[in-house]
Amino acid sequence: MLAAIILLPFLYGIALACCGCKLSPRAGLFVLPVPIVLFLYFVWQIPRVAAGAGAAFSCPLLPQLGIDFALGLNGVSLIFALLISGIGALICCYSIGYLKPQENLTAYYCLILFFLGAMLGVVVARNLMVLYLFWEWTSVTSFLLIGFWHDRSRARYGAQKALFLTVCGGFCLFAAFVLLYTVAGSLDIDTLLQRKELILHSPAYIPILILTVLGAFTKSAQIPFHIWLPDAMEAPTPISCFLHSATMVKAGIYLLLIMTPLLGGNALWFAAVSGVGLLSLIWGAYQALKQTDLKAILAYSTVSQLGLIVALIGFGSQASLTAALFHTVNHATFKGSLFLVAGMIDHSCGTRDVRRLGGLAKVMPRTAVLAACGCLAMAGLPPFNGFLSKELFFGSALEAVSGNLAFLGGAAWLIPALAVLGSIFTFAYCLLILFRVFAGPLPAALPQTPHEAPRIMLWPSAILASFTLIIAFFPNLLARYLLTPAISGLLGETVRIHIAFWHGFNLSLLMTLLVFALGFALYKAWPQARKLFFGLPKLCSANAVYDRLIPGNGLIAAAGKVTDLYMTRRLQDYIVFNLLFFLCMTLGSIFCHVHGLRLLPEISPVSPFAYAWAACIIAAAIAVVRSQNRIPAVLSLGAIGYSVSFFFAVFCAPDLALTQLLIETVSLALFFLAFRHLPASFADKPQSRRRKRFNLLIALLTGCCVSLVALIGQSNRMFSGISGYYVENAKALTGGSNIVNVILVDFRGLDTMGEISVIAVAAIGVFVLIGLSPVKPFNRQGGDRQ
Amino acid sequence: MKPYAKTKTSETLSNKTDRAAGSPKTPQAEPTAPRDASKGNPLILQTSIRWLVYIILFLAFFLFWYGHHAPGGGFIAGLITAAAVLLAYLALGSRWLHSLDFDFKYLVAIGLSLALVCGLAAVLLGRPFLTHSFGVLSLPLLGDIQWTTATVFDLGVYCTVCGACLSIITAIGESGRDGRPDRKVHIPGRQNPRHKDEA
Repeated sequence: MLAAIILLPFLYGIALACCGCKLSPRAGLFVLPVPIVLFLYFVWQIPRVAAGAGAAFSCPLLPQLGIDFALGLNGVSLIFALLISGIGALICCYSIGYLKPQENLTAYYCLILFFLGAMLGVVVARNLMVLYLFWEWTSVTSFLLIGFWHDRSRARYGAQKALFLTVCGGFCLFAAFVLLYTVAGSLDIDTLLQRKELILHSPAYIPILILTVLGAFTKSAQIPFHIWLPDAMEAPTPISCFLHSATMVKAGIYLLLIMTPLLGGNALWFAAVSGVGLLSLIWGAYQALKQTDLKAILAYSTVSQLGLIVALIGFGSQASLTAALFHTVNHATFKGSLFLVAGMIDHSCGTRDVRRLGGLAKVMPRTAVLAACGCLAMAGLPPFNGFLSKELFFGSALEAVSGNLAFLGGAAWLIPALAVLGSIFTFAYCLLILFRVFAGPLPAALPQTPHEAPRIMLWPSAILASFTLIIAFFPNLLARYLLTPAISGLLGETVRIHIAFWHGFNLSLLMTLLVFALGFALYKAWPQARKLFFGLPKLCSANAVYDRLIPGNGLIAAAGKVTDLYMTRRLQDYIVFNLLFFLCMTLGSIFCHVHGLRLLPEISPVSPFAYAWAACIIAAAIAVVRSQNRIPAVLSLGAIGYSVSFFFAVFCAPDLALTQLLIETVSLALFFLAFRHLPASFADKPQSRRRKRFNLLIALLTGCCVSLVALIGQSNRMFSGISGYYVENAKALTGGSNIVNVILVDFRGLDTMGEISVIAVAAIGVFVLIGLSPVKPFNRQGGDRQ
Repeated sequence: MKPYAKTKTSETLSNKTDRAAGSPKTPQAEPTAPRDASKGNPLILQTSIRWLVYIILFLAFFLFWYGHHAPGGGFIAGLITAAAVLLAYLALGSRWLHSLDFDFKYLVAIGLSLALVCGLAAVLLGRPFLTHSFGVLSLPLLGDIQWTTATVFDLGVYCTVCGACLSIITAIGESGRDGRPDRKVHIPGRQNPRHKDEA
């Protein structure tokens, strides 16, 4: 059931793509049932997960490598799954009103469905490699969705940047998982938890930790990898809301959460995770203050809020993990609704620049109410859910000073101080958004006359905004049914979670009041403070580093230069490179093991007939080299091939002989098809004498090397061959008696799968290469266009 | 540059071959008609090919079907099929190829999908990827027939190999033409579906 649920969006998306029909804007209504069904399924699972019996599914995928297609719902994954499917449903609904009918809606909804499935896969996977697979899928779908309006160069740049950074992080994650497998011998998350001691005491622990954290930070846009997120705002607004604030960027949070019991618990983890989180919190909030584009403000604010959650995970106590999960939910509600509001403003005013907007409360009163809910919740004002999680955040920060981060000594007091500073910035930009956009006079020159957005766009935002209040008034509903099972499952002990509005007069209340006071002061003094903020010298910009390193003259140009080094456009050179590499590797390994190898003088008897045949092959080979014209050369080459197949037949390998015969025939015929594109004679491109000598040397060495390997292989039996096993078991295990075929299709089926994929890629490659050449090839449309 | 005379003779040889293939470079070729390899081909080959192709295809089927027990299999059968089509292409020219109106790249996709589906079917049944099963089916009249799911996989190999070879062959063989079939010529006994596209 769980597997079917995860595969449902994929199958539905493929079906949608296969339909191929041009979808009308209302097509969102056809897609909408999928996330709703998923959401209902996960709601249905809540009591089961709370009882510790969530749905699970497992089937072996590559058992030899420890990879099972294992899925399972536990408390943490259920919270994320509910967020993903719930917001996914709202987004589908919102997109109906947002997208214009002439856009490529099929691709849009397909990608949303694929993303939905991949993201659910990330949170329910119980095997790390399956998690990694879905993880990369989310990166790819995010890339395609950011570049949805691919005719804009900024969209292409943003998509490339996001893909580059998240995939680099993905590789780090992959390396971490491989290291975990080599250390603990399993990729199953539950098994790994049982072998925690093994991991903690292995020398690979630090690399694993760093690589995992890198993977999570790139995905969750933490400093200094946050630069992709503002550029990702080129995506359509529902996508920004869904992927880049509510769900995909939370994948890093999810990873950190599930890795906390496994890797957490030492000073490096606490310092790295909470340090980067706090820095992102402050830097994101500071940058958000300086932005003028509504979506850019929200993007930096997402960086900052994610930083807050990451810092909470870094504190590592039970209370802080609870706060992290709680804020994940809260952030999804208020930021989701704010993004949808930003989309509505863009949709009805034609601009998102806060300098040009103002006074919208008069013409868009409903939108203004929704924006107020979102902004005030983000600012942490009561009675919104942001207030509760901010209180918990300050409490955890104070607790960390004497708790997990006590090893920092007096410097640990920086943590609550930084938390307060970040929150002051947050408070200020929330008020700025709200009052600059909605208060004041209505500007005269707007690209469009502002009007209230259609209901189909208002409702999703209203649902999210109402949750900011519902959660604030009934936090313990969430705590009891979702947070308690999640934290209990995560820490492996039964916990009781109670979230209260009023904590009494204590330090965290004081901090909250300080934030309100200073934040309001900063908002009031913004015209003066603005000059100060922009006057600060730019120390170092991660964007500048990226722009210098990657596009343009950076990495891509360098890669081009390296490629030009060996891509000489001469086939002879390519063959020489290949052979040289082969020689180095083979002769090198023979040289390294020269003491353990024997060369036995006795070889099997060879009939004089075979000698004569071999002489024919040699003669044909010489004829190939000596001929001045292509046709005799190719015919001689064919003679060699046929002779070799004859050898196969003589030495009782009929399958090989048949294959060789056919390959020879087909390639010979192929040559005559290609013949008219080639100069008939070799004489027009003469090779220098030195070059010829060098090629001769390489050829002779290769021939000797291959003979040597054959002789060594024949003289040294280091382990018993596997052929005996095939001969004995072919009939019993596969029902076939032709061992060659049985090995191809059954015993080593995966190899064959890889080989036919290579053949397919080669065919496509040839087609594309010839298709891209100035001479137009045969294709189906080619005739009709002329 | 020693064997100058030899070079010259071989060039004349190549020219002859070109002429036999009806190259446009040679002045003898008709200047107006699009170049078609079938022009200069012997009539015997063109006539016999229509039968030969079926015989070769039958051989391919035979080798495919008995591949599990005797020499053969999907790879070899795919190559034989490709060779059969190639032979017909050489004999009848690109007009015949266009009259087929089939894109061999689809065959590659079908083959890969077949192999993948065959592998995934095992996963759905709770076995590792690409696990095969086999058994014996008793049919009236035909007797006992051994079946194995590996045949489906082998069919995937067959389609991929055949499709890939033919895609490469047609891509190279048709390159340099304008990709336009001679529309005035109608192959007897075959409705050319390309005419529909032109409308």
